[in-house]
Amino acid sequence: MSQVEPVQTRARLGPENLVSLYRRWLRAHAAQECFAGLGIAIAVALVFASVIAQSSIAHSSGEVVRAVTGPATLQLRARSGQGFDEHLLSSVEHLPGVEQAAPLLEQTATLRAPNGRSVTIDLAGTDTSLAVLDGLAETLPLAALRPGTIGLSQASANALRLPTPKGSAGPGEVTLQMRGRAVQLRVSAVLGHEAVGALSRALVAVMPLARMQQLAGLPGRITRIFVQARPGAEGKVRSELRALAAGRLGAAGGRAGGIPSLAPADQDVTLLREALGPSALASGLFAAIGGMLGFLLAFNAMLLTVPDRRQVIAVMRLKGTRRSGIVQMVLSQALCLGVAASLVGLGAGYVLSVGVFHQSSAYLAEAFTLGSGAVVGLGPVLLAFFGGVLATCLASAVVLLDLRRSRSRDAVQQQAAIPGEALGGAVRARLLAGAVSLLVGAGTLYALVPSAAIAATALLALGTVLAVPLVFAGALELMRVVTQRYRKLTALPVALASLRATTLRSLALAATGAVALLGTIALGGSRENLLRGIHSFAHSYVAAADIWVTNPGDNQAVNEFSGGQDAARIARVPGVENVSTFQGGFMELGNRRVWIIARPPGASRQVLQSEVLEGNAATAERRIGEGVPSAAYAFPPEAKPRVGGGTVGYGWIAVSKQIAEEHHVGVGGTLTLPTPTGNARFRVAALTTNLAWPPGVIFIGTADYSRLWQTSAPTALGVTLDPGTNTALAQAEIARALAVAPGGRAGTQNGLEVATAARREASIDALTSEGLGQLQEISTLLLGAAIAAMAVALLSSLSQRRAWLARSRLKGAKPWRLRRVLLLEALLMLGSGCLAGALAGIYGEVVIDGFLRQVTGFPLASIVTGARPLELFAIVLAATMAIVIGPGWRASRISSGLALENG
Amino acid sequence: MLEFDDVVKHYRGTGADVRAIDGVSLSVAPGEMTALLGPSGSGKTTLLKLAATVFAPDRGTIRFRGRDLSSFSDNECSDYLFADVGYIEQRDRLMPRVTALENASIKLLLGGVPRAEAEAQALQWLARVGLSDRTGHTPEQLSGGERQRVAIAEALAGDPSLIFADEPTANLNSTDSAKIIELLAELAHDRGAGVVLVSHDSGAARLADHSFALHDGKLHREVSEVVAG
Repeated sequence: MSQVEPVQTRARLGPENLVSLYRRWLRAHAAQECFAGLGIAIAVALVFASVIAQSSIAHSSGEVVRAVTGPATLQLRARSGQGFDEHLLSSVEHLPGVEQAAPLLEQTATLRAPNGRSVTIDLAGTDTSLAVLDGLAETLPLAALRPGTIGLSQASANALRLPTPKGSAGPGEVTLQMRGRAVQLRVSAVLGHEAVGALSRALVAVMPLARMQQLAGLPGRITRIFVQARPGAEGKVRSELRALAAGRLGAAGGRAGGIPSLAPADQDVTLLREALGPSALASGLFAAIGGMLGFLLAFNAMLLTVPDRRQVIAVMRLKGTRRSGIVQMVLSQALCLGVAASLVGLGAGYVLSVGVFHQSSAYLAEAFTLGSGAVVGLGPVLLAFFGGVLATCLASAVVLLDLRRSRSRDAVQQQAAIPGEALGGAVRARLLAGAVSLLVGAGTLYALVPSAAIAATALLALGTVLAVPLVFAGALELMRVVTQRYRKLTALPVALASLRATTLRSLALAATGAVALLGTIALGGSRENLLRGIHSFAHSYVAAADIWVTNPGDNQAVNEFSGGQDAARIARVPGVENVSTFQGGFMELGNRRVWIIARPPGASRQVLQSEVLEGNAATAERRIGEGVPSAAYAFPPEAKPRVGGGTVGYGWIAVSKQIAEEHHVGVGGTLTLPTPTGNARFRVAALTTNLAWPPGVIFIGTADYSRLWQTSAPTALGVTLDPGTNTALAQAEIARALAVAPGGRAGTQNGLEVATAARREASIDALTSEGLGQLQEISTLLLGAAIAAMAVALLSSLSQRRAWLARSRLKGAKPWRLRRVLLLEALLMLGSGCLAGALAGIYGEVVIDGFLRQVTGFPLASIVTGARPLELFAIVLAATMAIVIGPGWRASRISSGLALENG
Repeated sequence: MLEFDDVVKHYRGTGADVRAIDGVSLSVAPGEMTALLGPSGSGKTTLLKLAATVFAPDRGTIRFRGRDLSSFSDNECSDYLFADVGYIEQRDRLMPRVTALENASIKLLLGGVPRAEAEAQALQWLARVGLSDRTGHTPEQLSGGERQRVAIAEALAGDPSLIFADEPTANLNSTDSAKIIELLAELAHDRGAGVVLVSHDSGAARLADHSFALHDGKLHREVSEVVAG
């Protein structure tokens, strides 16, 4: 009968068939697939960039720490910047089981190049034993430790823009400012990767130990001893070091003040991870929400393709394609699109992380030696990639609902609306029930577990998307009433009819608007609340004085200087009413490098008032100022505090809520602090925010601090001026008195910086906000992505409606009338979606704020309800319309012949 | 080959039920073209869709080579549609920007036939419908009649023994319409396929071996008798 060989159907489609079919589908629906792929790529890029940036600091800094420690596994580290007696080194070296030990003195310092550039670095003083230990990189050139010189890492030299050395000439000279002193030093070497490994990417410098001790005014002091134990002897060495640190072995270091702590050699990695935790949580939350919303945008982009796909599936079923074949085809196409879009997203994300996402670590630089550079781990790649692929597959799988056995092969073509567009009454009812359940679930979850903000926001976002049909139906009903009342309206009834006929597409567009507004309002609002909170802290923190004198760039006032003579000189400047001594530093408490703040009585009032979360600020301020009653100590007041074994107390402190929670202590409870002179027990007067220092803060009285840290050296001098004194003039006078210029330019002897309260506030504000800069970038990217997604969705919709527009033109519709219809449609679709999103966005802002306040401990201002949601609403809508106005104009002028061509 | 026996199909609307097909009995034999004529809403398309297992009848049976279509499993239905039926719709539903050859081979690819084999078969069918010189053209470059012929070539791929054509000439001019009807008649007479042609155009009856009129779901005498009578 036939000249053609009969063919047999096969249950499974081979890869070649799947590829051929997808290539044909791609050619037929290129724009549609591109739009969908773009949405997915944006989401993947957003997630990937933020995760890489977040993990890079910890990862690269870990490399830096390991480059310093080499094979050492243990260390004795000082509990304050003053260090401990270097004679402890010989005691350590003589301990049985110790293979090698190397000393290190570390200080935060500022380097200034002759070109005026400056950089804050971590300065390490050491001797050749560290190189012998194979720490600080085995190839450290001995020239770097030449007396009277300083060796800079490549990153430090780059930051100073030092000239590249030619021939035997070195890179030149720099001015070192440290502990209030300034000195010119010749740069002996620039240490690249070949010399110091990962350390070359960190802002560090090295110099001979003895010279650094002299410059720092810390003769005979070191801050660390790295210890390498012999194989199998580590346990024994650890216990001996612990005894040595406690002074029980009678070593010199213990007796001469400053008890060291025994810690793993790479303890900084753990401490840094903890320090990064809160901002990582905040950024992670933003990234997760941004990513989730991105995936929802991608989902909506795919949803726009659903009517076409459903029609194609119905045709395939009529051609005899088995269900399994269709499932294979749909999923393989989703997989191809998801994989391709996710790969593009990974590439774009990497570029973003390197070029745009600046996960600033400057705010941590005073406490940690930090590495730089993007480190791409496998985790972020897998998360972003498979997230993108999964979202695509899920969105594509919607069309497979048509394969249910209860539905006929061409069910989609029997619908009242345009095939594939209808949404049945039962589906609407289920969507409404789902929306209500999810929104209630989000509220309940937030109320019960504020830390589960990601889950609560996910429920909120999904609930909002499901609620869009209800809002959209409401908007259509409202407009229907308007058309009945105002009979002369012509474009509106046409727009309403058109929207009803393309329900699914309209809802996908409205849902895109909803997700866009939800994200921009919730994330943008929370970010602003956070920045206002930080600003409020910065303002109250510097309000204790009119002019501040500190080491250059020492915003936290944690680096000491010998300020006795300086204070006296400043006090003699005309217009100066009072000079107060402020102290502080860092202290390791568990895995946290805590910021200790010791302020003179009265100076903490304002900052406590704005930052206390639990307890009474005034009472706390008074109690902290009173200090430890001498009688409360377990030793006579004239004697030195006991070191090593015992615990002394009580005084009063205010601590960050996160620290208190970690130690299960509330207001009135007691907390033991490992001070340089031994453990001291304090009562908690109040709980505060973390003052934008992620590991947390502790307010302590100056008397207690001086006694327990055995130092009276200031870390900042606060100058109060007589009323009416010109601040700028006074600043200049003080700088002159200290022989430094107002900008902090180094004089011959003095390396201090003089700044007005306003300038210091701006500096603190900028630095602390910098740590959260990623939130701004995520918010901005999400806003851009939202506008792009909405514009893309509208363009996609326009392209799908060419036939309708052509038919309308054939009926004699004028372009301007079609434009009016298109405009009304767009405004109704996006407007109703954006409205739902804006309301959900305010709700989301509350949820995210709750998380940030409860979990991260950052200072956070209250939500200010105002015109911002409306502004964003208008911006997003206007930007989207501006993008599509051109294509819309062209579409309205489409040739009516197209209607005839399409039959 | 295909037999309808007292087939009834209702549509349940918002008001009263609509009896789309009302006790139709009909036999489609190999090598014959049967034309079903009637106005819109008379049940012509419903009858085709019943034969294509899109719906099951509410009453009566439809047998293909003696087997009741209602007894087919879902996979058997798919295999029946793929191997035994060529379904031609009113709209060609070709993929835009995809060549005639590629469009015509889609059905075979969906059936798991390797690409080279599928395209070789499609090429033969395109030649059979007179489009051998247009295989590399996309739908945008083809006339309405040519597009419909590509759709027919795709439906014929797999060499089905039954061809259901649902108003294939509705959107075509008279010349193209006549060519398509002639082509379908040739397929029946030359290749021994059973062709069921649905149309509201009584002219289609001229080349059909049997012509029936459908009115309100009821099958009436052969059109020639109707016209004569």
